[in-house]
Amino acid sequence: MSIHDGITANIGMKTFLLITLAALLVFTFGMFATRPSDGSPGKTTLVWVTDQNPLRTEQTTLFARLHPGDEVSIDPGNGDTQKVIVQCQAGVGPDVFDYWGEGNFTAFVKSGIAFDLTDEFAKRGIRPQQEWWPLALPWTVTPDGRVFGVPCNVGVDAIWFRKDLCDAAHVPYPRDSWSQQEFIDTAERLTLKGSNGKVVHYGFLFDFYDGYDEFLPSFGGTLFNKAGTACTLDSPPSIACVNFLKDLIYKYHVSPSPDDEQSMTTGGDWGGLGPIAYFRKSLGAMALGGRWWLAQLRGDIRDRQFRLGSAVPPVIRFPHFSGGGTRAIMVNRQSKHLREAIEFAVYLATKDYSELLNDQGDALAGPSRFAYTDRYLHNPRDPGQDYHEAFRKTLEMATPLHGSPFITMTEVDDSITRQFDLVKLDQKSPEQAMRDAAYEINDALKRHVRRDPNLLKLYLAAGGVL
Amino acid sequence: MSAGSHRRREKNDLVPAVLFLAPNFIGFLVFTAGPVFISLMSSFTDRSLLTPQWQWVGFRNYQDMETDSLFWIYLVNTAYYFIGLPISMIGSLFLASLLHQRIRAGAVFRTLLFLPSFTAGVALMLLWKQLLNPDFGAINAMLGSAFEHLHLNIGLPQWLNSTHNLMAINPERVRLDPPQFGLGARDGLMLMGIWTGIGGGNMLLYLAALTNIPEELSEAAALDGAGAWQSFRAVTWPQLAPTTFFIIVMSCIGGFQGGFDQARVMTGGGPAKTTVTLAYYIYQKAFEQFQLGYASAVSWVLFALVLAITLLNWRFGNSEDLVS
Repeated sequence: MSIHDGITANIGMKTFLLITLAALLVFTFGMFATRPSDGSPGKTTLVWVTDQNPLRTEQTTLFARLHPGDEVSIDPGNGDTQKVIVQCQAGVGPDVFDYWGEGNFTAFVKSGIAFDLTDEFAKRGIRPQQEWWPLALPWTVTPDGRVFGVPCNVGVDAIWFRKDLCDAAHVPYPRDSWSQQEFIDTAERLTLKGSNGKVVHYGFLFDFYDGYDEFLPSFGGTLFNKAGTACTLDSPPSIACVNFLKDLIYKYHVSPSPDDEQSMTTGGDWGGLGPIAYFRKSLGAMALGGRWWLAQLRGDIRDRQFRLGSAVPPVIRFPHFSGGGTRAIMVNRQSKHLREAIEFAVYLATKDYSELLNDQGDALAGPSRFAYTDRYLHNPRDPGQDYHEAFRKTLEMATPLHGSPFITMTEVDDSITRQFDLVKLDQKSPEQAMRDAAYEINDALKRHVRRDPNLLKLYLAAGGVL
Repeated sequence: MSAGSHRRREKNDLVPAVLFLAPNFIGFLVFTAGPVFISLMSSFTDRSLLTPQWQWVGFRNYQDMETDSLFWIYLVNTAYYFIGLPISMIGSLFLASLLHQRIRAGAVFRTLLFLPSFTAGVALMLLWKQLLNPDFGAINAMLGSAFEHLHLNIGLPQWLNSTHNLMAINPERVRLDPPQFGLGARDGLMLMGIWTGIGGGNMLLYLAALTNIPEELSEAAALDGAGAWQSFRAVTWPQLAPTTFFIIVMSCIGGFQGGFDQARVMTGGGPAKTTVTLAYYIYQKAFEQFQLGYASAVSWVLFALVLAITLLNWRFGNSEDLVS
């Protein structure tokens, strides 16, 4: 006889069921009673879906200090776009949430979950179009001027370089107004090989996709035509940009190929660890990266005596760069703490937050005026360092790379990434790769348009041809 | 006990039985049957995650698949992993045969061989990333050493860094491309799958099946003068047919649905999307590109493929043995 049979034989099935249900109820109430508190008593706790960056703690602490009745709890596990949309539509979403990119901005606005901040900002005299970095606007303000997002930070990649490695190679520090050829010469001179012929450190580290994003506007290229009806990845500037990046790897040998990257790490995964990891390991003398790298590089300056500098990337044909963007927040329209959530959104546009963020070095604050201060240039957290100005100068030259309303950026990225992989592996010429990418994207775009009558109307009105 | 009281007892037990079953059954309806039904409906709509509005599009999602080159490429990627299936099965059978011998510490060996199956998947994947490193990994170290001893001047595979594959399939088109012949990311992931699969559930199934074969059969074969190989071919293998059939069916189902975790953790789908499988593609379409309708249609095509393969197995495999 099993234990179950023994029990039911003695007390009967119904009694057993009742006892089980009662026990489950007791456990449920017990758990409910002992669950962790949602926040401090008497305070409103806002849930902010964002990353687990340690800098957030300081940012939320400052908000709580300025708003004694409120506090912010970070939720790093629910940041996926689909999670945010589904949770917000179901009425259980966070109060405020992060997003990244024009594509996500459009998706959230279209889904109807974002609170329109236009009037609230106007009441408080905040004028995004005049105050924020132009790069942040397409990611926070709709073309008809409605404000749905607030930038947490804005940034465009610049060139980080190691002064100590430049000194060792007797190479002058990069200047902000260097030419493409000067950049290549510098990278070549900074590529150091050991006695066994293996590279000790490369002249320039970059992520291929980010590099394309950064330099495409400088070559005069765009992702789509102005109306967004056709992909222009196969345009001569775009192909020239990919050629330039490929040449850094295979012609000038100043940057690692995917095979080389395998030798730089013991992990065997495709894509490697990324430029910041290699730069921190002293495997590169220059690297394309954002100001946000400071969160990690400050430790290297302190512990490993790194001497760092920064420079504006070389201008190829036009003084425009685009590798970076805006991390912004939106307020959940159905937030249970809508008033407090709006206050948090407003806080991100204030002097207090902007100065804190600029001090932290987590890219740059959304309002541009706080980057034109002595405090920005001579950051109290980086005494004696002169690497802040280049990031501001690069941001001044920033121009957004617009997507298309007829296809999602994730679909576009998917095609581009596949073609870049083949270029990086030297299996395909940049010309062919970009032609194939453009063909594939245009094909998908037209497929979407044909499926949706509303989209078709917009497409034809914008001059698109099927 | 009379028939009347038995019926009363049954009636009395019915309510508690239903109550006990209800949570599970409701859960099944809400979390399994419901979504399956909704996904079938969605496959005939243009549902997007972004807007609650949708409209019927009939079979258009299914028709679009025909011209969607990515769908076909990823289908080939998915099918590619089936190369490993016979190797994995032979390996499982071999190990099961070894364990079936009366050896000391058999339980220890069984546990060790089963270890990959109950080790956390991500941990295994991270381990294999190290093993597959072209420069520092143990696999290339062994291959390099072997090539050197055999005086073979062959380049070592770049594994997760390469689009090469044993079938010489072009990474972008469903066609053969001889320069692509070699070992690459797909083979690396397949190798890991074989390693995990050999010592896993299949080995235990074969071991159980071997244990169930009456010893008299082998003894009779031996008396008739059959050697080890003949005995295996004429006695053991036919007796294992139902198990083999079951393993093939389950592996096909698992194979068509698999590949997501490995690609997500080890390659991100690269290089050049050569490790993206249909399961990964469904995820991308639904949750990255928000095309729920199209993703649902791909899911149902995947289901149809699995069903077709199972029916084929059933038709041409040993279904009668399985039933018996």
